[in-house]
Amino acid sequence: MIDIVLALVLGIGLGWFLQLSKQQRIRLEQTYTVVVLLLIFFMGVLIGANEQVVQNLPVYGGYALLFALCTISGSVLGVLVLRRKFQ
Amino acid sequence: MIFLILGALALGIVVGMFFPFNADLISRILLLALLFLVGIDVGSNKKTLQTFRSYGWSILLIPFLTILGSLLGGVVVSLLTKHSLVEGVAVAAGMAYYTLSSIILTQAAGSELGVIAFLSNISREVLTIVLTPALVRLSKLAPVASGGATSMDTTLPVILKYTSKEIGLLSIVSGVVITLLVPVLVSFFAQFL
Repeated sequence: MIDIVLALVLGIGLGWFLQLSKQQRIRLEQTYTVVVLLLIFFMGVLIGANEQVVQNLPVYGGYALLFALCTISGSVLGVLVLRRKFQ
Repeated sequence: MIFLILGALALGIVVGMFFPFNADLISRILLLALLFLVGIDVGSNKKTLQTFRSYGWSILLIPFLTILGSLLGGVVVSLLTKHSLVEGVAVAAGMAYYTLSSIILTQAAGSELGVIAFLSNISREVLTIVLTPALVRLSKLAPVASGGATSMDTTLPVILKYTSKEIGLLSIVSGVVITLLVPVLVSFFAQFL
């Protein structure tokens, strides 16, 4: 967990002192996209190597939908108390 | 982008089925590189800070209540299913940031929870886009809350369309704060898995 926080903080610190041009911002986004796709690929490798997970995908889909609906409902209820504060 | 991600995932699954190899170390290094890039992006964007200044600290209530509500949603799921309390809040803490949360959980707890985190958080993003026209009837902040971390980018266009420019600014700030908290919260809960 410490390495995760450290990577974030270092990035913010460096970004703070950088004046990124439009071109550089585009390049940053492209790099980000490549890294995300590589990470997702390697995550896929881990999933594919686990036969049980591949077979259970439909079951996980059901859980996932339940998670999505419950977290959305919870968050929406959470901000309802702020209705008058921010219009 | 979503099709590229699903393509990369499908390709990875096929490769993993036929040529499994250990990708733990490379995944961890890439994850840290990703977080570093997210940090640079947020740190160099001064507009978010300006909005923050004009509204003051109370603006943080939006992301905090959004996260609190989601975590309670995760608790509810853990009560309804075989998932443990920690698993429930760990998946819920993804806040629709499906790439990051699923990668951290795959690394920490294996591919089962990683897959659930991926599917649930991607569903949350898609559902937010679909439900925004209905959610704004409850409150203009409802789609912002529903979008979680995505309210700063992928769900922002639809939120802007159904609310106002002011809500759009709040949406960006809330999304940025949540984006920074997702890796911290998910990896925190993952320690107890």
